[in-house]
Amino acid sequence: MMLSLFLAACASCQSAGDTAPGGGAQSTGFSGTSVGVRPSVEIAWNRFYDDEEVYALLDQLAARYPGFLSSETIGRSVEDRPMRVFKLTDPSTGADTAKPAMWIDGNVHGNEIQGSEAVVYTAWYLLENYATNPKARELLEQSAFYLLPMVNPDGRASWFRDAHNPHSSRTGRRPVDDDGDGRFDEDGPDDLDGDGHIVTMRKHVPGTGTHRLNADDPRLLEPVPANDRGLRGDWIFVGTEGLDNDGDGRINEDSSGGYDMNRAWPSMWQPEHVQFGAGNYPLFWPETRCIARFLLAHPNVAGVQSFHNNGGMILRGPGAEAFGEYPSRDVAVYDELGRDGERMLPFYRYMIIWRDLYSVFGGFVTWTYEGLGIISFTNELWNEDQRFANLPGGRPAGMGPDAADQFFDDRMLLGGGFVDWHPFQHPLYGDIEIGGFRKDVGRVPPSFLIEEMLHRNALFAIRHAAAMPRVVIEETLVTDLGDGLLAVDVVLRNENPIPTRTQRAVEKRIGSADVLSLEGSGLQVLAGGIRTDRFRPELVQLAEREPERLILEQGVAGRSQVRARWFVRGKGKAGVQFQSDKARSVRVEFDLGQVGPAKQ
Amino acid sequence: MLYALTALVFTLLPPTPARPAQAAGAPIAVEFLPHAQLDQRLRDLAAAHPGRARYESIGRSRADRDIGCLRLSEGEPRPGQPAIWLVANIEGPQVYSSAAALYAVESLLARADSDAPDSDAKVREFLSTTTLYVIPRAHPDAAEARFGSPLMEVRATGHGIDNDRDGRLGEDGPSDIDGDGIVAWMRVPDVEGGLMEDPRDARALVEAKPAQGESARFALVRESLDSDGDERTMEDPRFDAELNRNFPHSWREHEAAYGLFPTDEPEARALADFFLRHKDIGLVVVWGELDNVTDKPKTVAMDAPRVQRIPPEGWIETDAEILAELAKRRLDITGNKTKGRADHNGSLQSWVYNQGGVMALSVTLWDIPLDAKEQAESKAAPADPSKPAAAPADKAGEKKPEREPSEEAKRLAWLDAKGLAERYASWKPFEHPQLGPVEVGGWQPYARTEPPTADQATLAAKELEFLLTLGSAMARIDFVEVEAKELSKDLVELKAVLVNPHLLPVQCQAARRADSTRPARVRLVLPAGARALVGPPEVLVDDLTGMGGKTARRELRWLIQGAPAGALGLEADSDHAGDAQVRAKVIQ
Ligand SMILES: [Zn+2]
Repeated sequence: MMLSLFLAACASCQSAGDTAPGGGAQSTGFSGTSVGVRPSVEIAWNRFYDDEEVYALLDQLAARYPGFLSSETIGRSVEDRPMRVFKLTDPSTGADTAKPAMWIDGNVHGNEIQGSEAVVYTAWYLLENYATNPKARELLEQSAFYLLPMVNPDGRASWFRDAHNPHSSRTGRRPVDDDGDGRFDEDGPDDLDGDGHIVTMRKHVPGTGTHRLNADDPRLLEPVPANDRGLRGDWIFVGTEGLDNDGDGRINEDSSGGYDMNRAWPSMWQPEHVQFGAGNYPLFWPETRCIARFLLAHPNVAGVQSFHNNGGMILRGPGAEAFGEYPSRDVAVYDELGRDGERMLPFYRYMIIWRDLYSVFGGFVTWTYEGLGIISFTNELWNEDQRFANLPGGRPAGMGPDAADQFFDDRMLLGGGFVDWHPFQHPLYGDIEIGGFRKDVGRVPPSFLIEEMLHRNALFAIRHAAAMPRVVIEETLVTDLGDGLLAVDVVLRNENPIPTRTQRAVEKRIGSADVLSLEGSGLQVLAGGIRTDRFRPELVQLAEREPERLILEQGVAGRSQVRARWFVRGKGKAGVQFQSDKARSVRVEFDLGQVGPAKQ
Repeated sequence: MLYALTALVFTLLPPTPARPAQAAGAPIAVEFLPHAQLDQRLRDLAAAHPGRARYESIGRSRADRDIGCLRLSEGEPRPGQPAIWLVANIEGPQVYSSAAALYAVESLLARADSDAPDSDAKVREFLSTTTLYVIPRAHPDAAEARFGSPLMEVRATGHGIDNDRDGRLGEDGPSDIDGDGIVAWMRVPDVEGGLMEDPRDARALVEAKPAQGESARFALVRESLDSDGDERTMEDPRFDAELNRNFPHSWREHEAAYGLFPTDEPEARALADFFLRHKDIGLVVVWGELDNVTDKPKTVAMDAPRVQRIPPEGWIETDAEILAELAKRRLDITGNKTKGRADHNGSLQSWVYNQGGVMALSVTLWDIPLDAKEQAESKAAPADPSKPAAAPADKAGEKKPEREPSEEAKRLAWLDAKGLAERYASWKPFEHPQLGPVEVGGWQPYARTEPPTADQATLAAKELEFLLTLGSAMARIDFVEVEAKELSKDLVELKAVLVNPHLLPVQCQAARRADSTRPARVRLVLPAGARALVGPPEVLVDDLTGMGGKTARRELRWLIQGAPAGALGLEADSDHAGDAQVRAKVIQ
């Protein structure tokens, strides 16, 4: 079996030529199923990569698959890192801009790192499969991918480089005066003991505390139940490891950055005091503005996927209750993809942001749908329940969440994820203990579960991409009406679930309408329009003007047909052409003298 | 809480009546300059007054014109010196406001010079305590139509969309169809057009009321061709986005005039970034179409409940009281009751106030007065004998005498009285190439935004006099009652009060709601070896509310060890309410 696959791959390489992915002497092909078949670019999917390594992986793929993967620097981050979009498509079937494109990004929140690897994985998997898998090949022939591995490369760089906890480095790196004292970023958490980790502080205060140590596992603090004798625990929880660096009596109140680039997008944007992290105006940060400019300049983007962590969610808008619900035809598309996603991603739920998570103004995928009219998802990668597979409640029976964390770390990582409590002399709190889980525990999976997470999420995005509109001219039919008057019937079909124009795009007149045109040198177009009934040719919505150029504001709905009928005089060759922002253009030529259906 | 305004005492100069702008020396004229000349003039002024004026281009317009800003200040401003930001001509048709702003700048610089015949101590006092940023023409691309051919008013210069959905962008906009060099209006015969001739004045068009037996005869459209043959004109102009709707506050997505996204227009982003860069701005004054001084804005309570996290729209009550006081002072000085439009979504002013936390005065300098009394007060211009008198009411007028005179008819009557009838062209038949017979005429460009020549300087001078009084209204922090008392050897109690005795607050209510400006900051200054046993070394004060200092006090207290009472000091600083340093007075 292995051998035959290998041979088939090589056969296809030769016919496709040297530039095709999988071509070249060292190619082995990679089907994604076979144990032991080496991919042509080997990437260890059991660890994460810092910002430079992420680009290096994609550059390695681009070098291996020239023409198929290329990059464009669309802007620079606050700390002057390049914002690189990688464009993936089969160049032999046309430029990326002539095809519907799937936008995929990750890591807008600097600490939500695994999104970047999911982006790289998507490119890697499609390229490695191009030569041997007809579906992968067809996808790259028919569509393009715009891959931005890091929306927030500065946040990622800091997360890898600096001491952090799982939740810090979410922001970008533009200094913000969070506490209003005129100084910027002067009081963030501190790695007091210099061990490279920001964990937590606890203090022993015999008889005057709020917490006690768990009897079975003294690593765990648990609250002392309230009673009428007041406080009687021996411990207090002091907070995140840090000092009062600016001497204002507060600890860790002005850390680096202090905003949220997933609150910065124009649709339903609200200012800082309504929506934390929004910035001074929409697209305030250079990272966000260059992405917006790129998307506005690429109306061919027909699908959007953004990768975050964590909790196991497939999210869609609306982000705020005030929006109401999305138009029903678009909801049907969302539901089809979202429900499929729940099957492809066990432990993930398909959810509406404001209703099932929390209210967010100015989110990215709400802008790409509400502002740009594109079906868009955010996935929250990794659900801690996966650690205990199918155990009810996501953990062993009788074990609280903290005990379950310790159990998993002790047994499955030999304790490698936990910084054990150790004493420290704090300048304000005196004798304390420092300890807790490292930054790479909790919001990201342990090494041995990374690859499954990446694969399932990448394949969900690929499934979304495969749903982007694909329109064919299914039929042209010339009917002689007598006296040299001809009727030309054309049937368009969108073979895929996503419409060429979402209902949102139609309602808000976003982008250009589709155009179906008929032309020919010996042709006079007298009238024409869209047929409203499949069986009654006399039911036609005639165009008011320019009948040779029918404007399809409604586009072509998912998996459906549009029928046009023209009344013409003339002879010789005629051409019918369909143009759309979000589907490949198609053109069919036929002979007006050949009455009856033309062969396609 | 309500304040008894009349009982307040303001420490600096009280408002004074207007003074003629040019008592001596070369009189300063109100000049309408095309962008290149205006920009050069601003640069020249900066070069001629190096110690007082500095030119800065805050950015470039969509058509790559510099948006010039002049900073006026006696020398370098002190840190935190309060600044007023004057923005004019943010709407294209308001070119007069840019001429008035240039007039103000030239007048200030002439009067600030102590050797000049115009020398004015009041101006020097203003410029040595207050910074004035002036952007005379925020929207140079639109204003340039005032100097181009054909002459027309332009509002939108930004992001265009395919309004008529024909797959072509911007093919059907305004056009000088009769070739007279002016883009005015077309009166198109149309029984569904909603308009008819005013029974009082046949030149004017008024809404027909079918319920009262009236029937529509006309549609009113900008002078334009039907280039794409769709039997509509003006339905798809080249540009749609207007600068003063492209700011973030309550911005409306998918409405053409608002643009692609807030701050997409380069002028909007330049203005927004300028404001964000200049934390010294404590008051914004915008001369243009919008008005919140003649017609008061809607108000809301500070604690009005939010709906889905969003606070209700309007000026917060305490801020509105301060605005009302400023408006009253302005009216006393200028007597100008011109009404503009209410503030709208996406304006610079609404963003600056609601999100930036800085009060913005919106002033419309001029429009044709509607009020009969104001009309009468206007100086009668000599009647132009070459112009016909007001057209007599036609037959319809005799039929319906009960109709009140329309606003349009009042404006036309005013034009007639002032000898300015040419500002509204009589309707001339014209054979439109696509629409057939129409009439061309009506309001001429800038007819309603430019005061009669004779009034232009007076109006600008009065507005400038009001601006000059704002220096004393700006928030300024100060220490009072700074006392150090030795409680025992080596232990001193330090008390102080930080005040703002002026009309404007250090942080207005909108700023406190939005948390968008910095509170005043007080720092303890101790000799080496001393320490505070009680009290932080630094205190942030966010409640110096203005209104003349009644509640604008913050009492502060420390216990100090290791310093003699006479060695203690305090410093305070702020973004736009100045700074203060004081040494404690020793008391027994
Ligand atoms: Zn996230």
